[in-house]
Amino acid sequence: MPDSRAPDAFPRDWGEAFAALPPETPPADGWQRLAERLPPPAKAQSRSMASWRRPALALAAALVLLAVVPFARWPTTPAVHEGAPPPATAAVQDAPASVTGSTPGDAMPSPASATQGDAPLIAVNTPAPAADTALPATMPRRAASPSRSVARTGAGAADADALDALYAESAQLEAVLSHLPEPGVADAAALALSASLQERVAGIDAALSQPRLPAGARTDLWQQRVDTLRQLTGVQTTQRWQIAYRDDGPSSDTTIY
Amino acid sequence: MPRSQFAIDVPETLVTRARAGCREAFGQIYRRFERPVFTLALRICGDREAASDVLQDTMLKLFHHLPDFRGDSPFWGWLRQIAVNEALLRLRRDKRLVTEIAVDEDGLPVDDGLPPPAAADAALLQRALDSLPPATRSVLWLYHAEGYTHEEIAALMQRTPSFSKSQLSRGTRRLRALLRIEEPAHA
Repeated sequence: MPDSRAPDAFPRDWGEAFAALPPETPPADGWQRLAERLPPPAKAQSRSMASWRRPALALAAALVLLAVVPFARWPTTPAVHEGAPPPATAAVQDAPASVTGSTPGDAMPSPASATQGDAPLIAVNTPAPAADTALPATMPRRAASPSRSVARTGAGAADADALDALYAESAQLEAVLSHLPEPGVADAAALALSASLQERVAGIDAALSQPRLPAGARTDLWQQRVDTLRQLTGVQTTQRWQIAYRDDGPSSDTTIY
Repeated sequence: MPRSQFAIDVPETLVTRARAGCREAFGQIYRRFERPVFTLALRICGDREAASDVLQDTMLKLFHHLPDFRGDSPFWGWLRQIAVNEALLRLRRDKRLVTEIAVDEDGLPVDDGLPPPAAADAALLQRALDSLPPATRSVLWLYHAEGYTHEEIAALMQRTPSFSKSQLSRGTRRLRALLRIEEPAHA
């Protein structure tokens, strides 16, 4: 009987070991569940749904903006942000079409492909790391540049420093959010606002995944991400505070920020 | 570099029909990719329920955005990107994306790139992977199994390439330790 653990059977690297894992079997009713969620097959109807969704989203976004205006006074210079330009709170209102136009929770690799002109839809997909055009977004392409650490000069260096500060603050805010306790019984409006802001972060993430994103646009998007995370932190912190102090007045969800 | 499980060629005519709204064609695409999507989601999320949701959301998103696919890149890569984004989004919503190996651990074996023999045991390797923090496991899977670069992983996870590198190093060392099997004592 052959030894199944003969040396030839051992993986030569971790990639080979992972690739040898058997694929998992999804639930058998997956297609049936999906088919129930799909719109009727007629193409025209599908298109009409899409055209209806955008104005509805725009309206929802406008309502969210009205609700988050009080957050504009959120502190804009956290300790980790040394050396970075002051965050532009107005950027939330000035989000590019690629972000505002994306479906809430949209995690598409290229949600704004229709507005990106000649930018390739995606290019993340080839496993070959050396293929420069196959990078998913400009941020990694930029960071991947071997000259990054030695050729930071002038505006480029400032931009890179600003991005580094934004990465750090973004990660810190996500860590803060993750450590907030579950709210238990929560105000429905605050929950909806939190959900809207989370969707917004997802939309920004989707926009950041676009290939060949100009450096300036990338920095703006990261700034918007940090601003939105700050707002989200404010909302969720206030929510916990209200619950802890039983401040459940009729307008409590919008008066304290 | 092993090929991604997603690397499945799809006839252009099938994509075209699905883009035109043909439910049967979309069903065929679903069948081709449900296992790679589910497997990727399970590796990243760590539980079947979440992976099942990710599969549903990924395919629903695929359906709605198929008209945007222009065909200048492989279809499977485009779909994989949607799946990765959805899986990471799920981790983020569950507040598990920040769960990572935070510090270097002393006493862990140095990784020389060569997996231990126990890595050939699928059940052992799977169990070891499951015991890693979600963010660390995601980095390992995206790097080793899907072939993403540190820069790409950083962009996907909204972190820095340094984060990806450190998680890969720490995660691989811990994986190696988890797979370390005591040699049976010979009489």
